[in-house]
Amino acid sequence: MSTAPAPSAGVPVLEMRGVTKRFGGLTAVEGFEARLGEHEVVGLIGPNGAGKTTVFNLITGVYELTAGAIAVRGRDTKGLRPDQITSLGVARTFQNIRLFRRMSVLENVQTAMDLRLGYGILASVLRTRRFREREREITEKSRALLDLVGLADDADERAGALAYGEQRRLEIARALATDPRLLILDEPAAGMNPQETDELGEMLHVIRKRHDLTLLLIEHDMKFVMRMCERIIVLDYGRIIATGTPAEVRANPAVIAAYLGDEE
Amino acid sequence: MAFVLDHLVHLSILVMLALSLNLINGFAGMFSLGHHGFFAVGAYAAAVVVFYGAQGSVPAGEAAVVAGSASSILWFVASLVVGIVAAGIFGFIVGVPCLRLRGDYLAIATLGFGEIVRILAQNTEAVGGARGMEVSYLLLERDVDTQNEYALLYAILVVALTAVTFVFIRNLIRSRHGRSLVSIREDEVAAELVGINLARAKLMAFVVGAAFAGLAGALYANYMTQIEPKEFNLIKGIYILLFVVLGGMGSLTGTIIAGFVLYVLDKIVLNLMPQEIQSLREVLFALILIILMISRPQGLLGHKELADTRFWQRLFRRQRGLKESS
Repeated sequence: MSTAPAPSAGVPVLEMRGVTKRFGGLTAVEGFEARLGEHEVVGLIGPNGAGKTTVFNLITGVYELTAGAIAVRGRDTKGLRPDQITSLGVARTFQNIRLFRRMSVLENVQTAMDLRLGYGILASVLRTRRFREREREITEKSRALLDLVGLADDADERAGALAYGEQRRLEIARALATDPRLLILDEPAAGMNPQETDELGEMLHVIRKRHDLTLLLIEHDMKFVMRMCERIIVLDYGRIIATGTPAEVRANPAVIAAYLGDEE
Repeated sequence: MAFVLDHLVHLSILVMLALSLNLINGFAGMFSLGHHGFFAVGAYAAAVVVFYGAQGSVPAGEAAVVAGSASSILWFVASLVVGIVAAGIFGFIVGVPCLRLRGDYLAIATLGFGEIVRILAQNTEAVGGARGMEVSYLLLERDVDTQNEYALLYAILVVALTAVTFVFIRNLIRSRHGRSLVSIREDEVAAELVGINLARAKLMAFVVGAAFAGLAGALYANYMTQIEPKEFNLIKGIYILLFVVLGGMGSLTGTIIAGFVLYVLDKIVLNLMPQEIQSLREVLFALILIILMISRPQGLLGHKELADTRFWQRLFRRQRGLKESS
């Protein structure tokens, strides 16, 4: 009451209202609502084709909204390019890994720090002191991130040459390099064995604490989702059919119907 | 002597062109077929400066410009600068609509640009139409006696500026700008989502690449007595594209090596082989390209630089080993 609230206090990290996306006659997502506070871990689940990845593409600006509004940390993202939305503090990983395959592991992470570099062409060409200092700084930061995801020894490896699980971890390191407040993960555990999935869960917990993150994740591994998430949103045919704690969602008849089919 | 230097000038200009093309085609992954268009813009811009500026400023009554005088040298430098700037502006103009194009479509659009420049020059009387333009020598008096001096001076200048081009582009590549371009080549969507401004990065590549092509054009126009529209045809564009593709898209040293090999081969066929098979020159290049694309599609050096190759490192290590043992 006495002092103005801190800018982020009370402002949700992500707010989506009435978000709708149509591709021609096909409605991929309709009336999607979500409000993610700081440090929350929220899962987005639903059968194949329910519109989960479309929601991610709408948040990150890859697709334009048909209707509704999305705000990141209180800032409406309407009309912003994906790179501008990234600079607001949103980072993501991809369902089918999208690394810069012919760049080194370290360069993959460095590339994602471009937002913070801000030196010009002349600085690059003349190798000015500002250039050298900024480059040294982000190289150190990049190595620290690689250390965090257990890839410190592979820094000079070609990203495309990494093993599958390592590529997934590199994607996470690259996403963290943009210094996000909200990290959205598209099926991070896909293709992992149970042990790898456990390790991923632990790693995400550490990362979330250390980087002060809100997590939003799509995942088909239900055990993983139920354990990771405080809250779950269930999509089916582009609409939210349930939200709640893992236990509530698991008991929800509509969710069971969506996954197993209706009993007629 | 003058013979070797003359070839050195021509080769350096082609290498400068190819290096700047590699920035666009190799590193940024935007397959442009219109680089000879930027070369033409630079050449014509420089020719216009020399023709209307230097020659035009000669007071009536005096025969012509005095090559080597202070004002002539200034005009020469001005023609290079104008060549760079004009081509850079065209790089921007071509780059903007090309932002939305990819792959074959981009190649066709840039090819169209190259043709437009040539045909415009051919039909514009102010730049001599099909006859082309005369470009006076400004740097030094050039006659039978000073032929060697002139060639030496110009060769030094052109080689030095090609070296500058190499260092400029290499440093640009090994910085945030280069990482942005390569990341776009690797995965455009992922690049944009880690915060790369696609339009800015691509335009930067187009403008910088075009500007160096403009410099090459300006150097070329000042070296030749005459430039004609038909020199700036697609074959020229393909010729330098060969340097890039054969050397490795994304390898600057590869471009230089491939350029040297192709140029020498070209001149051997042109000068030493019997007349009848000279027309087979272009067939030879097509054959080289086909063979290389089958056996080594990534080009000689791929996307590595010479210093990163095993061959080079072995050479280097051996030298160091010798030093240590002695």
